Amino acid sequence: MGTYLTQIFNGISVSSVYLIAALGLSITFGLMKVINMAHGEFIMIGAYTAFVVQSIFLNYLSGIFSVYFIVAIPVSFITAGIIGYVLEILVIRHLYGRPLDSLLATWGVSLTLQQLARSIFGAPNVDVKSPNWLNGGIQVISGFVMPYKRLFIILLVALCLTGVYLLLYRTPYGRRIRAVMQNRNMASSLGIPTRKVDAYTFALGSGLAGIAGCALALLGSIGPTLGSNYIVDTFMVVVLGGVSRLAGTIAGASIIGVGDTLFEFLTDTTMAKVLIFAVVIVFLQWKPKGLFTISSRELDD
Amino acid sequence: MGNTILTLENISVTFDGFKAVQNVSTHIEQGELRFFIGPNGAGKTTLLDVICGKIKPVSGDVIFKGKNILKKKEHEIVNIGIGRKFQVPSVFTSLTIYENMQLAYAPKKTLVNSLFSRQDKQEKEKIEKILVKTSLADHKDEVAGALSHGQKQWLEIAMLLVTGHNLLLMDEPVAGMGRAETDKTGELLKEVAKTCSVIVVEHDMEFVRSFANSVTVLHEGKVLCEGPMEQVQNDPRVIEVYLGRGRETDAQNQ
Amino acid sequence: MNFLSRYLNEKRRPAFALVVILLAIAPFFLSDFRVNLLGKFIAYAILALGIDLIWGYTGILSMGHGVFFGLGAYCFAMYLKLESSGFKLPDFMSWSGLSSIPWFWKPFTNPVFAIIMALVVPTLIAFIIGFLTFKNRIQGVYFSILSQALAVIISVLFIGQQAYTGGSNGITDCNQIFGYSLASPTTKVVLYYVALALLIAAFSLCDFIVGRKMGKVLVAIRDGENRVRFSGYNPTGYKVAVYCISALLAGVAGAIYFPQVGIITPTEMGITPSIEMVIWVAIGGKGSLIGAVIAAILVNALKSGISDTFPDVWSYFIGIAFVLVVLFMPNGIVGKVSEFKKKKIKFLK
Repeated sequence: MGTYLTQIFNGISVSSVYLIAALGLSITFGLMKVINMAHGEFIMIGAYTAFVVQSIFLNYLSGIFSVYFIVAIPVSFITAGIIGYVLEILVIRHLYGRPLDSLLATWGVSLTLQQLARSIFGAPNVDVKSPNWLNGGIQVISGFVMPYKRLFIILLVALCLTGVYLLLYRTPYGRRIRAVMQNRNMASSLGIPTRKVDAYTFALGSGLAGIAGCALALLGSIGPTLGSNYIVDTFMVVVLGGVSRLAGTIAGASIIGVGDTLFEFLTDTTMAKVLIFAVVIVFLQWKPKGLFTISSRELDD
Repeated sequence: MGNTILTLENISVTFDGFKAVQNVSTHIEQGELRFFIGPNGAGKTTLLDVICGKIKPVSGDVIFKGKNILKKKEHEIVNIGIGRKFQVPSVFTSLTIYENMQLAYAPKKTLVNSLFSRQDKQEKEKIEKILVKTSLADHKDEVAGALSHGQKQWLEIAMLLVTGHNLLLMDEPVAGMGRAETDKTGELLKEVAKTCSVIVVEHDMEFVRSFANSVTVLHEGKVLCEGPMEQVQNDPRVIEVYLGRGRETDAQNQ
Repeated sequence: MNFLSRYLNEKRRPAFALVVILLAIAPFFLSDFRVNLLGKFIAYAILALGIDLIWGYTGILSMGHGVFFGLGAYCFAMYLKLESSGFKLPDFMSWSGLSSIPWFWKPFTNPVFAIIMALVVPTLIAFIIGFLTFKNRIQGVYFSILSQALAVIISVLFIGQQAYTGGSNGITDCNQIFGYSLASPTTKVVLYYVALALLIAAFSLCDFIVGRKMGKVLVAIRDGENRVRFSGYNPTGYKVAVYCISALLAGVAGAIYFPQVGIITPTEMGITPSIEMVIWVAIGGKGSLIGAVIAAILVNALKSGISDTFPDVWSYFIGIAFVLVVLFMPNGIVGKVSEFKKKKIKFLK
């Protein structure tokens, strides 16, 4: 019983990381019809940012080391967000409405960013030390411990999700994003600065990936290819959930995350990947456009 | 009834709970040039989508030449003789006009045929004849993407003609055309109707008046009335729908 | 511009003949080592032809072609490994604790079977995946993402099954092919010319397809898949067919790659090589067969030139090349050449 609960709990915490990473991907795809293969690298940037913040605290502010992680989260968000903003202006905005081309160009960006990380931090992985207050966990029943780290991550994701929800559905900015998503030309003729909306939204998505990276830093080592380990699963979340619907992304992330850990527990890591892929293919036989879709009357969209 | 080519029986379509078409029934005779008119959102295009298999209705039947075609896929429906022209001109932009026509012509559209069949004399003659008819012969080696809007519309009509369908579905064939081009398209349609039946969805009332021999008025997904143009024009319900809806007829006539 | 690139396309045959002649005389001028390297690039060129067919012509972006390439290589490698082990238990199996050759390895003692499998296995997998996705009209990025996931899964699977696949070390240390030493320069030259012959065959096949109505249907699918449907063609069949053909070519490429290079690892089937293959075609020019062949050879020559001495530089180079080609050269080298010619004509007028 305890082991099963542990698996499900781990599954939920993995799902939450996928969720926050996929959120940015799905929003930008829905908004600009651009798929960002470098999205994983923003996870990596977030993780390295956490590492840098930790090192600064370790060297200069060791007295208040335990709060470094609280500082690292917004710093990761901002760093990844700024790099995302620059990327949008330099590359992404030239690729609107060309999803396949965007896949290739952003893959190039991803290779470059990985190499950049390798040049700066070296090829070997680095680790962050989690602050003391995140060590340990709550013993629920015998054999089932909920580690604080994972609880913290779930909480963090829940906060981000609420934030994104409020931003999208309760603010004028969110209304603009949704307007541009649904009809770019109409929105632009109503005076919405679509280019600005795109750039900020892309930065937001990148920032969210940065937070995901920050969270992942707690769970394992950080290396230049950290992002690429997650990107395929993140993509699967988007395929499964359909684009530009918050609910779809949540459902997709839960299925992939819990499925992944559960299959891994029942079989092994490799078989889990194969099984998840099979599940997605079978699922698409039933709903080829993902869980949540908007029907369109265009002939070729 | 022996000449009926297409029968729609109690067709209903829903989009996410919204009833786009409700219990529409009508039938098209051989050689008829039928117009579907009605305000925006009346379900005209949706009906065409149902006939050509793009949308599956929640209930009802589509009978073509005595056979129910509801279960058939889009390309199968094309191959039994129903052609479709879309609202936005959709031709293959990176192929030449002649290549576009070749694709449309092929009597057998299987993989094997497309690999091993060669162009015969009959094909060449037929394509050239229709290109002349649609004033596209001078452009036949140009890439279709370079054509003007009106020429794209004609190319699409030409592609339908060369295939030799029994029933053509045309969605706003004169949208975005000037008067001269519109009239020419109308003449083309008349010529087409000599050999097959045509259903046209159109907003341009003057165009409808000049060329329709029968009209079906749709309103909010239902058939409001049906018959010859003169009769439909004087139907009080039709006048009510059009005038009540922001005087669309007047706007179209100016 | 389109008209000119079309004009150039018609000239692809003489251009290809020129490339073949150059490749045929190359061994008389190059060292054994370089001939061997060039043979490897020819294998890549065969692969690039397949990718051009599916991506350049049909507009379907497969980001998992490394899988088909790898499977072709593995199938033939299984035979060579068995032959080199004297048809006894290969070394990596005994290291992993196997005591006898697994049942599915046994038929691979027959070279004909192995070669047939190198063609059948990739084609069959492409057929299954293609049928299940294209039938349900899964298009665009959705297909690309799935094909990419396929690359991850197969490579992970091969790493995991150490005893049967050689794990992450892959299959290596083969020294014999049909009784001849793989290390001898003569064998290498023979393999080189076999690769060249296969390239000619692959090019002819693609040239045939592109020239026929099928080629037009493929381009039409790229322009507007639904319109193709309403012209009476079933795009599903065409898409599955073109996916299978390009997987087959990738399999052939893998099979001729392995004996020349001597090693195949799951890494070759992963995402990174798979996407790199696409960029060869992008650099050469989407929808230009000759462009794909030339770019596959040139890019890889450049890669081996740069990455041996400065591996870091290569990563930056290829990364930035991706971005620049997509942004500024959507039709690749061939597109640029025809643009240039057009400008020249204008200038002369």
